[in-house]
Amino acid sequence: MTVILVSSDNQDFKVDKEVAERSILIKNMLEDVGESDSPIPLPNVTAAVLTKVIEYCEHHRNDPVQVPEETDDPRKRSNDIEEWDMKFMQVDQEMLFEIILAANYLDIKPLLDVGCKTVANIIKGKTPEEIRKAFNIVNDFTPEEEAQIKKENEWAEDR
Amino acid sequence: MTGISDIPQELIVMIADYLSRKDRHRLASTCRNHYQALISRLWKELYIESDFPHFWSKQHQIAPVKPIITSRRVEQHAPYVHLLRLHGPFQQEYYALKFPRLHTLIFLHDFSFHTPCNGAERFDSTLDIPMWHDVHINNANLIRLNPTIKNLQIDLGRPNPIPSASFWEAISTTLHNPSRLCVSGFCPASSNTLNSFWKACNIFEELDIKVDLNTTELLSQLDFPRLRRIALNVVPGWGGLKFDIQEQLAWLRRCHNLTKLDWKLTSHRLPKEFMEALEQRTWPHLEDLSLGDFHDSVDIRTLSSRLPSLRRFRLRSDQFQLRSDQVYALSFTAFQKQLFGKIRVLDMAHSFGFTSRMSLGVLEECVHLNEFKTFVIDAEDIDLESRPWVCLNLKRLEALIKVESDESHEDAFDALSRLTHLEHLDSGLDKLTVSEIEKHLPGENNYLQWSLDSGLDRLSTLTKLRTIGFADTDQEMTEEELEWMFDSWPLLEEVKGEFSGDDGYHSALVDMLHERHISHV
Repeated sequence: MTVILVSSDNQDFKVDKEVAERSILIKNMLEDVGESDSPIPLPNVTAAVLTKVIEYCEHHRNDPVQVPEETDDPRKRSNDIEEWDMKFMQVDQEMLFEIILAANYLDIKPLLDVGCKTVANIIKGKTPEEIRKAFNIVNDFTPEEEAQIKKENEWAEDR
Repeated sequence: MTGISDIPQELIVMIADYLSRKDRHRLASTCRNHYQALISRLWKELYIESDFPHFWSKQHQIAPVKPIITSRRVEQHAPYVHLLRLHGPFQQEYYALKFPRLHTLIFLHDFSFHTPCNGAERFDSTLDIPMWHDVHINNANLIRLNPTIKNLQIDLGRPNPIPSASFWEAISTTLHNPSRLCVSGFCPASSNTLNSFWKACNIFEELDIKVDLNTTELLSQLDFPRLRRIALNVVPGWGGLKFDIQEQLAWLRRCHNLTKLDWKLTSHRLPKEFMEALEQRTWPHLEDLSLGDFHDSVDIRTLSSRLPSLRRFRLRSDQFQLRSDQVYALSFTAFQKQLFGKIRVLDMAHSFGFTSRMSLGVLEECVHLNEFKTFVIDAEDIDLESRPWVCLNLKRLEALIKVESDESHEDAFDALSRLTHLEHLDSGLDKLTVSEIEKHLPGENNYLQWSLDSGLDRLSTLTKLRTIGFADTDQEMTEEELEWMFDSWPLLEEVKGEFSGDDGYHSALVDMLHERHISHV
């Protein structure tokens, strides 16, 4: 069975139901709508991003549903991204954040996790100034605020 | 253009949860939006050091460490604080703070802090006496203001001022939902203080006591109904052990609801009454048993035939020995029968009577095993065809692995390769002291060589490996091995041991690790 997804810029995407249902949002919509064939509008996702999202869902169509892992170690790791996902995420920054926003909106947790881990890996080991540079962040702290926070950071590092 | 400023705050938090504490703080300091998003994470755990003068002795000055967090700033963020650690005595105003969500409070005191004496370069130790007296009054007041505290930890260096009865009373009377009490380093003296101490202990579910203690009559009247887990290490004081082993056991026997018992006997004999207590099923819910520092040649058969079905078992004693070879088979069978059903964590690393055959017995039978620490495994004894390893959920394995031939090297690597969930593998010798090595591993021994020539490549199945160790086992590894490890073990984060006898070469390989942010111990 296939469904039709419509991007914000009015492009139609024909997708297997099983693939589309990797998105919990779409899954719920399909359950509500029932047997209807009408296309599903996704006003928050452009065609370019939707193409990527569908590519991800296709590749992972047979993955088991994620169950929260019972581990003793609560620390989350970002260095266990599988190879295909890593290549998949080699996109420019704009697309990276678009994918994260889309995964959040469409409720595709594994894709959201991969996106967050990818961003975390960019941040790792960088100074605040380097992080700002990497993401074009404007520093809107006053010099006093910044000094205070820097002091508190030292305390955090001394643990 | 879509960038990081377009994503909602809850996703910033999600990203930050994948970062180390340090990196999280750095992200927070990039702009106001990020700081606001992460404020609850930044202030969740607060570790403050006092600004009082910090000297060990008049000859060894430590530059005073100023508090980076003023009490005003702490107060502003008090609603976010879940854990607070106070290192040193503080100015009065810190002890007047309320933390509506505080669940863990840690007092860490040591004698390197001294009363501020304005202008003086050196401290005046006579002024310290009232300061130390005030400390526990202040601590008690802080506790009274924060009834949400569940976990309380008090670490005092010796010699030290004794928290008074009123301090312990504050604990007994204030906490709504006490969970764990951890105390170390002091010796309550007066029986009044001791009684208050025992009354405070009585309200907790978990106790971790490492103190030079005395017992009082009150103790025999208290039931400790909530107590589930206890780690007891009564340290002998100047006059020897005041709370002796039999009295300790008498107390433990009244704590029927124990699920976890960690008892260090500080070089005393394991009383036979303990075996009796086990036989009488004194602790029917016991799942986790750890016995340490006992001076005895324990009859393992007697002990193990009385053990309840445990999930974790740890035995640490120099003296643990089997009585004779004839008893060996029977003893081990008893051990097997009682323990192997449910055991998840087994630590026999310092029980030198636990032989290689026994270690393999564990690996061949304990299906649920998650962690196994043992003394030695002799690869010659491995026979995967007739006795395959079943502990396929094993996450941590620490054992010396003795290997004499190429064939047994293959067998060892073959066996290890089956443990696909392994995250920590350590075959190093560093856990033993020189005298232990001389006594239990005399002569020349050959240990597992972590090299591709010997069969290391079979461990390519261990994709979850995070830490590895091979200290003091005469390795001769090369760049090739390291490159292979980087490819095969993507989660590797720590390596313990020397790569080579050649210091220069070893350093070069360590550099390779550091380039990849893998730490070396």
